[in-house]
Amino acid sequence: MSIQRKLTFLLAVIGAILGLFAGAMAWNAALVTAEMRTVRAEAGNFKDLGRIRVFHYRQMHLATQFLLSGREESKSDFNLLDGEIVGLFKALRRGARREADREKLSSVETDYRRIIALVQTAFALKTRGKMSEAVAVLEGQAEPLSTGIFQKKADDLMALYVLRIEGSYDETILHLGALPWLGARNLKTIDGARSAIRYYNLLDKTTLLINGQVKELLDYLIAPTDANSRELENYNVDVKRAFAEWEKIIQGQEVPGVPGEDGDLKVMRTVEHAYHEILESARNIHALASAGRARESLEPLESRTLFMIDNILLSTLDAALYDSRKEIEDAHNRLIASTMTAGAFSLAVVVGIGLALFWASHRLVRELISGIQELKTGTEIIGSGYLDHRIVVAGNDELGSLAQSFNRMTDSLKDGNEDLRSFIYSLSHDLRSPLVNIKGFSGELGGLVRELDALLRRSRVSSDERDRVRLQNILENDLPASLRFIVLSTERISEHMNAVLKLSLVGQRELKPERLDMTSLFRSAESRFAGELLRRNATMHIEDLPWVIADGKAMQEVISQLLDNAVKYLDPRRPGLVTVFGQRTEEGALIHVRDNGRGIAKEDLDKIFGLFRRAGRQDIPGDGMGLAYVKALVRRHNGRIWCESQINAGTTFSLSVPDAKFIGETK
Amino acid sequence: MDNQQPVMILLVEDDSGHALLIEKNLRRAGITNKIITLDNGQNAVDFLFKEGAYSGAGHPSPLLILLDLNLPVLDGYQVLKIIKNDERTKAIPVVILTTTEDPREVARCYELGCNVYITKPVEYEKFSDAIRKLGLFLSIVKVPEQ
Repeated sequence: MSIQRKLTFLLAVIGAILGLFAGAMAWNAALVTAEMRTVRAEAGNFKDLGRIRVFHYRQMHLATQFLLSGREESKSDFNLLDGEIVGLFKALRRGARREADREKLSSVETDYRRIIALVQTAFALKTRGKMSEAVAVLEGQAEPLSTGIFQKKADDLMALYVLRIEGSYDETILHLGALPWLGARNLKTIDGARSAIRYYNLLDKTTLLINGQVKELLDYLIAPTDANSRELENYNVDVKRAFAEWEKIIQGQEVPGVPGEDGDLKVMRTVEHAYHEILESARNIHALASAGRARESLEPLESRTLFMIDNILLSTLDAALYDSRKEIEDAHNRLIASTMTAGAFSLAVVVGIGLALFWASHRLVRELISGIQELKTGTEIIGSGYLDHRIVVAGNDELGSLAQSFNRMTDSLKDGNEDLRSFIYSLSHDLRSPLVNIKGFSGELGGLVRELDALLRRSRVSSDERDRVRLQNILENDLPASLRFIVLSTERISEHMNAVLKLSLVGQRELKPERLDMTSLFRSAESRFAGELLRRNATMHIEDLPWVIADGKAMQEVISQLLDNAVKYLDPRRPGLVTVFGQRTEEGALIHVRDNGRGIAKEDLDKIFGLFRRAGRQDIPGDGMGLAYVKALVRRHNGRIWCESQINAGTTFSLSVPDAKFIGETK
Repeated sequence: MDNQQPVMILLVEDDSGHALLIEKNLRRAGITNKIITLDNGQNAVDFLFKEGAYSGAGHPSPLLILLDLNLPVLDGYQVLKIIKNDERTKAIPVVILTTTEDPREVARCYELGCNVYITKPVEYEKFSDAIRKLGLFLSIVKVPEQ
């Protein structure tokens, strides 16, 4: 796995994590919104059920009133409220979110219908003049059901709604914690909504209490006995406590989203005032009853009391409930809106950070990769023997210092190379001095021998014929032969040293790269072989060749060496043919020199580029240096030279010259 | 050139074999002048300026200096530089005789003011030929009066 792919993978992982994070935020925002919708729905249910209760209290008061006064409006008001309540139940059924809720609801509704049926029976009895039976049905059957099991079930359901709402608030606070940029303001909104719900609940409870008191009051109106009066006063203590608690909560609350303190107090005072007026009336009724004048004042008091109960007390409570519920709804809407905004903002920030991170990493990766690429290219160039090349990697980072280390290594490599080269140079140079002496004095000796021979001939020193022949043999044959061997050997040493010197100079000469037309270079070399080709009855065919970027002088030497080899080793038994062809490749140029000469044995192919190596029959003069020299020149161009051959069929030399080496150096 | 002139040739060569070969071949070419051979650069400079070991000597300046490049103490380049930078010796022709064929070194010698540069070929024939040609050259060229 390449570094680039690893880093891409890492980036993908980071991106995925950020994505998950953003997703979690969006998810939390969605959850908060969903919870708020639940709260809103449950608060709606809570309100509807609360209204059902308030309406039902009024219904029961209206029923009592009808029995007492026989007024038809009371009955029609009763039926009107029944319509309202049935409508509310319908809404509740629609809003019920769970099967269990629906079951509880239908149980409450069933109880309600049973109460209504009983009330209708009482109404029918009253119409038929059976007053005491009607009172018995209402007081004995409908009322206990209404204040007993019905209220109990409704209470349970209300508590369930509150529980749900509280749970939702807890969840919401949890989710809000996961959303940054949702400050204290939103938590305050939640607190406000929560208090509103509690306040709402308190209103409901107070309503229940007051209603109980009102019921007692009505009982008392129907039968103003001492026992009933005592119960009324006892109840009064509880109601007073409820009012006190109500006031305390109104004054203690400082959270927004709940009806303001002044408005609430006003509502409370109205309800309290109505309550006290009703209580006062009841006391008056009791006083009058004790004085035996109950009947005469009962009528106006009764209507006034019922009016107070109906129109002020219960209506105000209902309105307060309704208002609170509206406040809650507003708070929730605000919360949902701000949650959505915070969620969107968080998402945007996360995505922004993600993009910035991605961009930065991408840049870093590209910088790293290009640095590594630079190192790779540089290493390849230096590795191919071009020790003057230096790697340039910008920056003071690890890559830069790696490049510097590499350059230092190349420096010492180059120094070592140069040491070696100058060692070879001075060695072959220093060996020449003694060689000059050996050859010089061999020559002197030769001259001396000739001189001695002439002297001896002239003087004929020896009389002994055998000695004379022997002396002549030494001077004419033995000594010159020995000298010839010495001279030939020193000549060979000298040739080899010259070759090594020349080769060591190849590495030192500065190359001047230019774009060269190989076709014309080969053609001009061909003209120099014209005489030789004619003599050997051979032809040379040069096709159109590609251009190269190389040193002109070096290429001329390479060309003439290759052509020289091709012509020199042609087979005299068949007409010689040398073909030169080539093409451009992706890296540079490729050139082939093919002959139909004597060929090279397979086992010799490796040797031919070595120093002083010559393959095959040694019948043609040569120093064994040509191809070693060519190879050194080609290598300095980062090129490659190789050879394919078949013995007695011909040889093809192939030469590749890349362009890349001198890119940037070419003028 | 008048062979009776008491002028001499100075040969600075540390390899006595080379010195002998050079002298022999000069003689063969007909050079009869006195040839003084010195084996290091410092001696050559002292000899020319009559300093050190040659302090107070009365010999005349040489007709020609044959100078090898690889010399002990002072090398050929240094000697050449001293000779060509001093008014007293500037006019003396200097022939560089060395085994070096490196074109950069040849160029350097000409830059320093050498008059002729001869490579000592390993081939005996070429070597004696070169020295003889030099001898012939010396015998026909009129050396400027000091």
